[in-house]
Amino acid sequence: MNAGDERPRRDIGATGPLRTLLRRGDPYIWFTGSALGISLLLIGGLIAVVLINGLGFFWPGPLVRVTLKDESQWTGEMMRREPIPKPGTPEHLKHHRIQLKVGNRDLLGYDFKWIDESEITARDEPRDLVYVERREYGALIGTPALLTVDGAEKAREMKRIWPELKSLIERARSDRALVRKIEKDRIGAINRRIERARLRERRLDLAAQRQPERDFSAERAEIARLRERSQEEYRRAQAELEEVVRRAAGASVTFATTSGGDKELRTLDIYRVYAANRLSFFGRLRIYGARLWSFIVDDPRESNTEGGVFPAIFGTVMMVMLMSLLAVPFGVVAALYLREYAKQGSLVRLVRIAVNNLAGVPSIVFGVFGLGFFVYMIGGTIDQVFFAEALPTPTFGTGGILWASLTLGLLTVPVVIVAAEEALAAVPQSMREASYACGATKFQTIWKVVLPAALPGILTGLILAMARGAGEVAPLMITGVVKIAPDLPLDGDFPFLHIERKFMHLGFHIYDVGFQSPNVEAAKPMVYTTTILLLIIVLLLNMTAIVVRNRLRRKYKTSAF
Amino acid sequence: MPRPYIDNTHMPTALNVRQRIIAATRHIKWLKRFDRVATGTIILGGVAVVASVLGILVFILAEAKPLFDSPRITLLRSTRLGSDSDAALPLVIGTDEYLKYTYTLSGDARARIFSAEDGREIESTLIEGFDDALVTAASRSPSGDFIAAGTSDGRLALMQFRFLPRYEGETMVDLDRELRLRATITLDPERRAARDVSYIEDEGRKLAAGLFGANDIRVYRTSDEGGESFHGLHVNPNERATRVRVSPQQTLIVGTDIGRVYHWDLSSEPRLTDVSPASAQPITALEWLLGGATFLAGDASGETSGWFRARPNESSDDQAMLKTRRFPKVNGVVRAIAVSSRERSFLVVGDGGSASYHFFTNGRTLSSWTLPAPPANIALIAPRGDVALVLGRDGTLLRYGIDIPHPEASFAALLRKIWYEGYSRAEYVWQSTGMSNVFESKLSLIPLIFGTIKGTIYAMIFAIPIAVLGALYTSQFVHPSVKAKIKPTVEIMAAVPSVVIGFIAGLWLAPIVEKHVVGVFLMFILLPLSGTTGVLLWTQLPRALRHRMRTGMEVFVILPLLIAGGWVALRLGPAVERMLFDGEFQLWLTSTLGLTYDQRNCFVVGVALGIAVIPIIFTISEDAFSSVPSSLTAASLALGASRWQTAVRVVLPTASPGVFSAIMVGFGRAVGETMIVLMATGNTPVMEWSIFNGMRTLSANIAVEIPEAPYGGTLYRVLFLSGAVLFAMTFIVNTLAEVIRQRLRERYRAHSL
Repeated sequence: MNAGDERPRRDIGATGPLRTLLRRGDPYIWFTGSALGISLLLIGGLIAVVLINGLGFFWPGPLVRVTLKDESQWTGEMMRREPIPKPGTPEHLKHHRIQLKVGNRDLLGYDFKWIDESEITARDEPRDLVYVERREYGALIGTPALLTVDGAEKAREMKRIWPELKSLIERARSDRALVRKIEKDRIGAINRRIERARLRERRLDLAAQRQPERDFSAERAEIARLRERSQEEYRRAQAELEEVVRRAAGASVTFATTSGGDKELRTLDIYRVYAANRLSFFGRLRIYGARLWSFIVDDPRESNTEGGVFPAIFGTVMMVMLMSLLAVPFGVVAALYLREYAKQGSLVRLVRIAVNNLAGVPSIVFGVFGLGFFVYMIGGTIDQVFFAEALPTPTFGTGGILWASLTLGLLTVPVVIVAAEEALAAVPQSMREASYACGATKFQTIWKVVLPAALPGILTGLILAMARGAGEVAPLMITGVVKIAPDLPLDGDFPFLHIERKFMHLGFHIYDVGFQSPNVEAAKPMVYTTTILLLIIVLLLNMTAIVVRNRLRRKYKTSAF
Repeated sequence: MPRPYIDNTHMPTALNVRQRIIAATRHIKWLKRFDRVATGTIILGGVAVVASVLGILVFILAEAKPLFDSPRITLLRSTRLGSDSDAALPLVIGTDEYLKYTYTLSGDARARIFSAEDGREIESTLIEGFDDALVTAASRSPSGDFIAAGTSDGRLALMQFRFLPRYEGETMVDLDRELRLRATITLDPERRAARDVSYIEDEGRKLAAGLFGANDIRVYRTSDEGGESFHGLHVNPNERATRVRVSPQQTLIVGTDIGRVYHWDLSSEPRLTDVSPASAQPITALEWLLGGATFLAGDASGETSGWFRARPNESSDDQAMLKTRRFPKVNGVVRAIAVSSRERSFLVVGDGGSASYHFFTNGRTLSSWTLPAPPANIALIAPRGDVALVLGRDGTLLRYGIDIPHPEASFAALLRKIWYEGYSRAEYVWQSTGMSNVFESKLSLIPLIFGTIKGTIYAMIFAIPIAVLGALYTSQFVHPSVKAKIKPTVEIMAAVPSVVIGFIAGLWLAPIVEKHVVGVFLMFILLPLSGTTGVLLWTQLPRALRHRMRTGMEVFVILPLLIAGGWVALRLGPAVERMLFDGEFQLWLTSTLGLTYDQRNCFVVGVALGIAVIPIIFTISEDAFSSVPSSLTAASLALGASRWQTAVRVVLPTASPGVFSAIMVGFGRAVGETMIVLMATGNTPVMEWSIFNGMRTLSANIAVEIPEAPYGGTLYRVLFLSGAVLFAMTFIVNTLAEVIRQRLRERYRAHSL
């Protein structure tokens, strides 16, 4: 570096202002400026990529119909247009191709199709084309041709079917809710009763082994009675369900498609239909809003590539809350001990460094610990002592939201300790002394003076911990997150909070759908949208922490480095 | 918590001073007690939290420790089996999985079953149709309990012993014993006495072989359709065959008295593929290791060697039998080799009364001990691998308990090159699980450590210049109002979850880089260049305009320039690719440099990990730069140094320990990052430095494999060990960084005084 101002003079031989510039080092300043520029661009670029790819996903674009030279027709939503690479030939990047989302996976076997623009002879946007979101096989794109109710023809052609369809789909929505209610709430509850009866019987078996002389026949008879009753209820609920489905499934629409004939769909299976080419801007906006809403509040469908992410949002929030419940009290107590009670010697300094560095230990290591200690050791022991009747099916001896939260709690405790300690240190000594001078005991001083003053700093720690917890995936993958959890960890079934259940998580959802799903291309937009959601949660938490901390710094004017 | 202070407002005024003092004293006493309790609770809680957080490493190490527990072999019991008559001495011994029964086959053509508990004979059956012949040779296959008995008149009985558990309720009460006669054949047309026999059955296909006369080998086998065939094979006329063994891989080996081992491939017509000089001494014991691809040959000098077929070097297409292991000598002639039916361990018994227990893959001698009596040539390892049986020449059966939970783990297996079955040479390989249960698990941590370091290095190459220079710029040249915006922005970047970065890198960046490799690499030249050319533009601006802008706003001029530079690089990419790489970079890479291009490669990971660590390095080094005492910079500027000269000659050297610690913290983060690597690489544990290859890191490996690793198994513990390695690595690096920073802080404090 020392020769930096000598060399340019000789080598470049620049004259006048440039020479002075070089000697003064201005180009180097610009060079370092580029480094900052690049890092800002990286952040901006990352967020821009996510936003651009994610926000457009719910926008209902127009549906086009293209006719090719071989007279085949394709309909679909335009996804993108790009030059065709043909390396080594003069044709390289000369011509373009378009990607259509053709939907109709049940008829075609794929969702997307690349079409050479040179093959296209005609392109239009028929007003009758509709986009159907349905229960399985992704979207359907076609023209409504026939509406039947209970086997009888009700209407033909778009203009007659369309007005009817609206109300039918409304009805389908409430029918689905009813079906879901019966399936999940009633039948689910019955199944759980039957399962509980089975476990009671197992418990009796185990007890009978230990005490062969005792007579368990009364209990056994009662279990049998219970089971009999549950099974009767189950049959009734099942019959009712069948009745509802039969009634609801009566109406069906046949769609004419360009990609393999007609497709008949029960209205019960239709979630949303729109005639994309008839929509005004506000109509599109409404569809966009509706789709966004159902993304947030709906359950996922088709192995997470369609539908919403509600269980993942719920799981993330609940896990973070459980984690904070564990991390904050313990972290604050440890910080109080280190800062207010422990003798400030080299040992405490060492401990402080060690705790500080734990925040830098890879999260997967915590995951490994959580798996070995919480899941296998503690969970396994709990199972053997309290849930022996369910073995070999583990209850607590497998990943679950409790273990995941505990693991993340351990992971974030150092963050809380460090932040709380910093906040405690920032409380001026004079305040403590004033408190002591008034005759307060140590604990009174801490409770009444120090902690309130340090609260914003502790809050910062909590928020940072929550942000870290919400974004962390690796340790969760091995301590309780699953791709599809059938039940939320909180529901109407006694004891309401099921801390042993597995759960879904936004971050894992991104990994799973983006990398493990069978149809990555179709799932990609969904992943981007999930990413936006996760980013919003994490970044909001962080920004709050930064704002709180800045206020605090201004208040106490201490240097922290 | 209650409100323990004195509240005067509720005091009845009628109380006299004395009463009030008593009340106050009582209250203060209570307060003091409460304070003591609170102090105790906080101290206890604090110590417990700190201890338990620090206990993580202890627990992880404790989980990994059994990998290195020293093996224990103990003599459990010695029993005498049956009668003393010579004819009844067993030729073969076997046992069931639960070690309830021991069975034997003796020269008098009787199969006997003894209670393993006390050696009491429970039943004895004569082999069907063998009433007039003596059995001269017999063998038992290590897995499947296939028994071959060869007679003095050239016949062979093929049998299988089966033990079927019988349950009452859910507890096993007994084993049903069954001796199934699979076939009786006349193997030697010349009706000579069998000297050694071997038999295996694989998916219903039988394969049996026997030694007759000096050098005749007779083979019998059946095909899938049940067709039978007989073959006659020979060793050299001047040699005498000593041992014969068949393997489920449809191969046959024969040891001879001059120490050679013949190997025939029987998959079609018998074909002699190798004659291996296993020893200078006669072969006295020969056995296939689990899987039937590696054989062990013990000789008269007590030495055992291990052989398998592989390509002798990378270039050759043909395979040859290679000697890959030599095991320490036992005392005297090798009398028997017993192989385990569940892993690659085996027991060698020497005539001089010594036994040693080895693990083949890592060449480890797990234990050696002395037998109380000279052994006969029968030894076996029980089906569960927890007991070894050795028959003494006097008819006592010695039963040893084997307690070696993780024989395949050793420092050599984890850290050294190992010559695995089927490989041409010793290599570092990580491949923990395979398709079949005879799979040889390869647990070298080296490829993972290599992958970790490789990914980290590329990330650091990308991140350090950007982060440190950016921090220098931010702290020294940027206007404070801009700085107040930049710092939180970068901190926000630190908060972006790694799963998001990994996802963008794997699904968005990787395909783009694959398409525009050359353009992307051009960016590395063009971006800094275009940023720096700003200075030229700047000087050309009219003076009036230049002075309207405050100093330290360069970054706003630079940003558009950078974007333009990036765009130009991508545009120029194809042209440069045509000029230098014949228009197709990946093709050029393969044909000219012999490198492969993975879509999710190290470059992508480097960038993604870089994005993850840039904010960390940036923030810490910016802090270090900013807290250089202003007295120093002011002095430098006062002496006439320019801003840049001050920054480089005063600020940078003073803050360099802080920058170093920032780099180390960034390094620690990159080493342990899991999701990014998991998503942005192919996770193949290869060991190549090429930037266009993927890799597998320790952390990603844990995430990939631990859900499948059975609790308490070797893989599980090895993964815990790698977790401990990660922990130690990052912890040490971070501690070092922290100590450096504290020193620096003290130095600054001294300065500012």
